Amino acid sequence: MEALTVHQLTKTFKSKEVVKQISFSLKTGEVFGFLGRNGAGKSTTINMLTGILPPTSGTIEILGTPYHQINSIKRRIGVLPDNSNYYNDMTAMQHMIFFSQVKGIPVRKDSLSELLEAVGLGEDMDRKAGQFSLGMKKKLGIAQALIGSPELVFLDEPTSTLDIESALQIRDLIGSLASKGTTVFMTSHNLDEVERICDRIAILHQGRIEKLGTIAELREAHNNRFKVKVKYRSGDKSRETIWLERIRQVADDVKRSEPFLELVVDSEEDIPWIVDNAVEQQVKIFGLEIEQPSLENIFLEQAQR
Amino acid sequence: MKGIVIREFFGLMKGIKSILIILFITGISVLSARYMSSSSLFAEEASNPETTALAGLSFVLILFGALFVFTLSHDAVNRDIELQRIRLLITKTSRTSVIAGKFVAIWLFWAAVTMISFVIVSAITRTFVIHELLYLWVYLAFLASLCVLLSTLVTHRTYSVILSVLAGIAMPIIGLWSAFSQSSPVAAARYVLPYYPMAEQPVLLLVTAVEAGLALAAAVMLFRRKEL
Ligand SMILES: Nc1ncnc2c1ncn2[C@@H]1O[C@H](COP(=O)(O)OP(=O)(O)OP(=O)(O)O)[C@@H](O)[C@H]1O
Ligand SMILES: [Mg+2]
Repeated sequence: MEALTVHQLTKTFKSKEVVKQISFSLKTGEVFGFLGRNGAGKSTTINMLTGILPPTSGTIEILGTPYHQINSIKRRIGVLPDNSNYYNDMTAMQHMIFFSQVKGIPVRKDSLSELLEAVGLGEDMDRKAGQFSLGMKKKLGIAQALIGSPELVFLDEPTSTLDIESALQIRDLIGSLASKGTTVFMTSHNLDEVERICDRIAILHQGRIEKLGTIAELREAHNNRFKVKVKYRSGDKSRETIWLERIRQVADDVKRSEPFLELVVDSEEDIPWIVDNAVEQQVKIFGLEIEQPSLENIFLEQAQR
Repeated sequence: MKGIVIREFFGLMKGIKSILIILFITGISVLSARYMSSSSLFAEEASNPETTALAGLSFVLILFGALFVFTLSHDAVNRDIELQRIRLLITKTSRTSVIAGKFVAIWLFWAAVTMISFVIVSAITRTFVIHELLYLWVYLAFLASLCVLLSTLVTHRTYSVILSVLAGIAMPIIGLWSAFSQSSPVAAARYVLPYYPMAEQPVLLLVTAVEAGLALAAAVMLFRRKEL
């Protein structure tokens, strides 16, 4: 079942089109990463999906409910908006109680304090939010998004401003949400994190989705495919030359500085083929290093265009 | 909506301004009630609908109600917008509930304040003029809804506070002038503002109630179209 379906969604501010006819859908229980440079339109998209901003055009269906009935499912979604503030005179726990009431969810203090602990605010739950650091406010933001075990959670940059340890904690938390069947829609600038926790990603560029798929799929579609570094020794110079010529048929950027050979191939299948030919030409292979394109490469290629 | 009502209501209770206003209002009501119950004319006057035990309270609220309600709550909605807290509310409940919650809280606060005065005054005068209290509640609902509309309409608190003072002073002046002088240039205002109904024609409070509903509906419509 689809947790979220978006069709031709568009947002125009004044006359500036910021999100341009994007379409995608989220399967129940998946973690979906939304990437893109600053100003690409990620937050604008999240804000439209969560009822903060009215879309200019397009259709949205959340949890099987059309967008105009979004109020009826607000209880079943959780949102960490891109910028949000808290009540300076209220403690973290008081916020959680207040937000539960606003959401119309029975207040259960033990589960609220569990949530605060899960985001790393266990020791600060009775401190006033006015004294919170940026990172602590972010944690409170994540905790409030999870009130009432929502089925679909939108997290706009959940780990920005968090220290490394806290970011890891939140990463684990998102992972555990997904394993419980919660659907997560998140944005992040941390590609390593995205690579680890997201099932699928979309790369937004100037308001358009330029790439969409699993990380493996994006890799496959990516231009610079596999970078291979071979450590070798040849018995016979002329046979080595034959081997190298064969390699050049399938590979680009062949660079030789003995005992190493560096090359780039289009397909993973080319790698055993190169090895087989080496055996045939009595070239001994001592080591093989294969570098897959990282999400970073894919992303940068996108961003440089 | 419940959370918003509770938070806004107790937020109103807490401030020093509201405590002073409560003391002032209760004080005036008690003094006027005492005066009436000790006056030998009271028995006679009580039969006159214009003079009842709650006259002191009504008098104060007719003169200062708008000023009190507006200045205390002019930022009920725009405060949350300016301080960027509104997104955390509208992603959890409908925008209509946010506006309704703010209105109910403001109105409840004033209903409570007047209720306290009413109880004390009733005890002193040993009378029980509930209809007078109900009139006041309609009047206060009008002020509360107008206040919510103002706070939704004017996004910046610096402007809404200025407007709240101006409106709080101008409304009773125009309203009372129109109520007592049929030849005044603002005479038509007697059917729009709640002062004529409060002072002379309680039946016209029905119009006031409808107006309160309209103001609230306008606030909801405005708020639903706002980009937050
Ligand atoms: N209320 C607004 N009025 C006008 N333009 C806006 C408004 N909100 C956002 N924009 C513009 O829309 C574009 C997309 O902004 P958005 O916040 O969605 O980017 P983002 O992808 O979330 O970026 P970041 O990574 O910095 O968070 C930007 O060019 C921004 O200037
Ligand atoms: Mg953003």
